[in-house]
Parts: sequence; structure tokens; C-alpha cells
Amino acid sequence: MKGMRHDPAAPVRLDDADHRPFHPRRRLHPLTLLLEVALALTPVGLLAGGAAWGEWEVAEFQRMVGFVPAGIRTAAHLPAPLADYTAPGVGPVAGYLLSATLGVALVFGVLRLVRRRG
Amino acid sequence: MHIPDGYLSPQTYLPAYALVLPLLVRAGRRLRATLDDETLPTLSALTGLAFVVQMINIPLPGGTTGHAVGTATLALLFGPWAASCAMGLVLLIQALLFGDGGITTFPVNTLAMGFAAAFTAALLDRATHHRLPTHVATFIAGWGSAVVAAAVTACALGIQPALAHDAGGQPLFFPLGLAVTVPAIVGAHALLFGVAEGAYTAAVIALVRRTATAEATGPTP
Repeated sequence: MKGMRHDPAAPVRLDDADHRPFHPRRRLHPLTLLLEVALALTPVGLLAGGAAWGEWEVAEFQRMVGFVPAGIRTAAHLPAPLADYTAPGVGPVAGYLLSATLGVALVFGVLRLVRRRG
Repeated sequence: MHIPDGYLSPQTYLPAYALVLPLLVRAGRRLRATLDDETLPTLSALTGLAFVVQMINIPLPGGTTGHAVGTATLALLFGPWAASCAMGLVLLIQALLFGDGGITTFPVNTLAMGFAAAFTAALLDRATHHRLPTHVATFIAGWGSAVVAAAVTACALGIQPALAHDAGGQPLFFPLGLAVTVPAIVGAHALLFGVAEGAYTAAVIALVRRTATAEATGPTP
């Protein structure tokens, strides 16, 4: 995560009011800290076992309404490499943390690309 | 609120794609115009936070779960267009990499958790921030954004039985109607997940503003 904290190319500006050097890095710090804490806490989300309302497994429809609608039964699903935030070969907690880290890294990477092209 | 593939009929997701694609083009332009060296770190951190808080499931009695979304913080700081595009990015990553949401349902999920949530937050904040203390106004903006996003999701699911069924009247896609989806989804968000969204929004906006103020006035001794 270290490389994402701030853009090394960002200019160091002088504060107009008192000409104190202004570091973009410092301004982000509490938010970056919050992001890292929240990221570390994601496995807490695993404790709540159930699915969101409506986002049930196929079998759950059978139980709830007595049949599985054809469109849901035959829906094509793209193979997601880290389906349900799990990773092959590691436990659920590690998979969840890995997924969260990868997701955040992708967000930072894509937004940086959007900025550079602009 | 992430509707999976197979839940929505083509009669729903094709028009939704037709609506959301031009909106995303416009939102993308606004996001690019917003992103500079100054905004990139904060916007990235808030978008990353949105991804992360959506993984922190909150249990609801009865066995279902929900989570905060994080759209309102982006909308209040960077405007509803940039926020909607950032959420579209989060939803695309969730659908493609983690199988959360879906490809056919991406436009409806983006309209709900992106555009509807972002514009609700921005409008509520505009209407209330002169009259109410900041943390109250930002809480209401966050709460309202989650409730309206839930309403869009509940409507998209609830109209499916009427839109598509076989000769025997059996629904082909999501089988429960509006009378079930609206109370279940909107109710849960009004009472619990929206409150989490409001608290998250108020806390994060306060943190960002306090940090910005501290930077503007110099380091505190």
C-alpha cells in the first residue's frame, strides 16, 4: 500500500497564507490510515454469514417460493477468478484480505490512469 | 443491493444499459476533469474505502446481511457525476473479479448504488447544509442515499414477476413482487444499513474537513 499514498510527482506547494511548505502526503494521512484499518477489519464481515436479502443461492428460491425461476436457474455466470472474495489455496480470512487489497489496488491504479490520460 | 446475473429480465437490463452507458460517458468526463494531483489521493482513498466497507457485512435479524456503500462521501466531496463514475468502477471490479453483482445487472446496480445514491446525497446536502449542523446534514445525505438506492433496487427486482413469466404464469426471473421487495429492502436500509451509511458519511466527511482545515492553518503544536 505504501506506493499509493501520494503521487511522488505531485508538486509541493507553498501555502499562500504563511508560505509554509505544503505536503500533499500529510493531508491524506488520516484517510489512508482509515482505509488501512477498514481493510484490516474486512474479515469481520465474514462473521455475518447470511446473504443480502434477495441475493440468495439458487436452492434458497426453491425453499422460499417453491420453485427456481428459469432465468435464475439457467443464468450464465462469467467465471470470476476470486468468486465471493475467496482465493484458491488459502482460507476465507486470507482470501477476504487478499480480495480487499486487490480491489483497493485496482481502484487506485485505474483512477491514476484516468488522471494521467486527462 | 448487488443484483446477481439471472435476476433481471432482458426487458429490464437492455434499457438500463441504454440509459447507463451515456450517463457513464458523461460521468467519466466529469471524473477525469475532477482528477488532478490534488484530488487523486483523496478520491482514490474514498473509492477504495467504498470497496472495502461494502465487504464489511452487517447482520440483520432474520439471517440476511447488508453493508454501507460509500457513494455519499464521494458525492459530497467531488460531486455526484464523479462519484457515480467512481462507483461504476467499484461495481465493475466487483462483478468481473469477485462475482459480486453481475454483467447483465451491472447497469441497474450502477444506477442504484452509483447515480441514484450520488444525486440523492448531493441534493439532500444542498437542501439541508445551510439549516442543519454539518454532521446532521451529512448523516441525512448518507442515509437518504442508501434508502433511495435500495428503492431503485427493490423496484428493479419487484417488477420482474409482472415483466416476464412463462405460459403458466410462473416468473422467469426474480419471483417476488413489489409488495415484498419494497418493504424488505427499503425497510432494512431505512432502519439499519442507511443508518450505517449516514454514520459513515458523517464521520468520513468530518475527518476529511478537519484534516483539510488542519493543513490550511498549519501543524498543531
